[in-house]
Amino acid sequence: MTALAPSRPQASGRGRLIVALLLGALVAVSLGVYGNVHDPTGRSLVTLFFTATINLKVWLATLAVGLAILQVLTAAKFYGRLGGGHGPPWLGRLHRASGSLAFLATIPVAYHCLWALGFQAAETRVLAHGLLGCAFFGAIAAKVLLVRSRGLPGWALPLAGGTVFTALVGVWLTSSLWYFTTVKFPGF
Amino acid sequence: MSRKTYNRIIGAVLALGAAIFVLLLAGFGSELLTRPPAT
Repeated sequence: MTALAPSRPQASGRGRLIVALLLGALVAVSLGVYGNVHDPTGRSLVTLFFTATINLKVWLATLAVGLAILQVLTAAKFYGRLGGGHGPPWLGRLHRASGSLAFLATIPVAYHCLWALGFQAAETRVLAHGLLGCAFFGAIAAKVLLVRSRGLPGWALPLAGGTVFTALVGVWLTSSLWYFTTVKFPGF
Repeated sequence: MSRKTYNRIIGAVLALGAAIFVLLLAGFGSELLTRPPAT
């Protein structure tokens, strides 16, 4: 019995990893299906102090990407991959707070995309944007589940975080950067 | 604030954000947050 004990956490960790990946996939596919079957309302979001919904969206997405870059830097530091040491004790709190804020910033953007515009495939950029957006929310769901799990392989959490970051950057490149470079900058 | 309390607050914020997102997609609150397209 004692010989089997060390393998239990690993087996449990693998199980949690599989469950998190499946739930993440479920979230991503569900959002894609929702965007496809829901009749787009065409309505605009309240714009706060921006001049139009699109301006609000591109800047919220840009805020999310900025916070995501902070996420990568703080994670790299406390994993010991950025300079010497693992950083100050408050780095973990900064990482969690910036991640939460980034997630909150994406909610109105994704809501408008899914509720008012729907899933579109007429242009490659728009198709890629929709797929990456669904992947982002699936990846973030999986990452949030994994971050509280024990016994995971060492690569699991960095890979999940990297996937979230990559998807978000992809979303930003196919929306905000496109808007800034082809329509208007800064475009408040 | 202890680490445990902090993590609980962060967890609550994430859960609340996800819940609001789902409710919005279900149509709750859309009249408050959106307006008709310009004609």
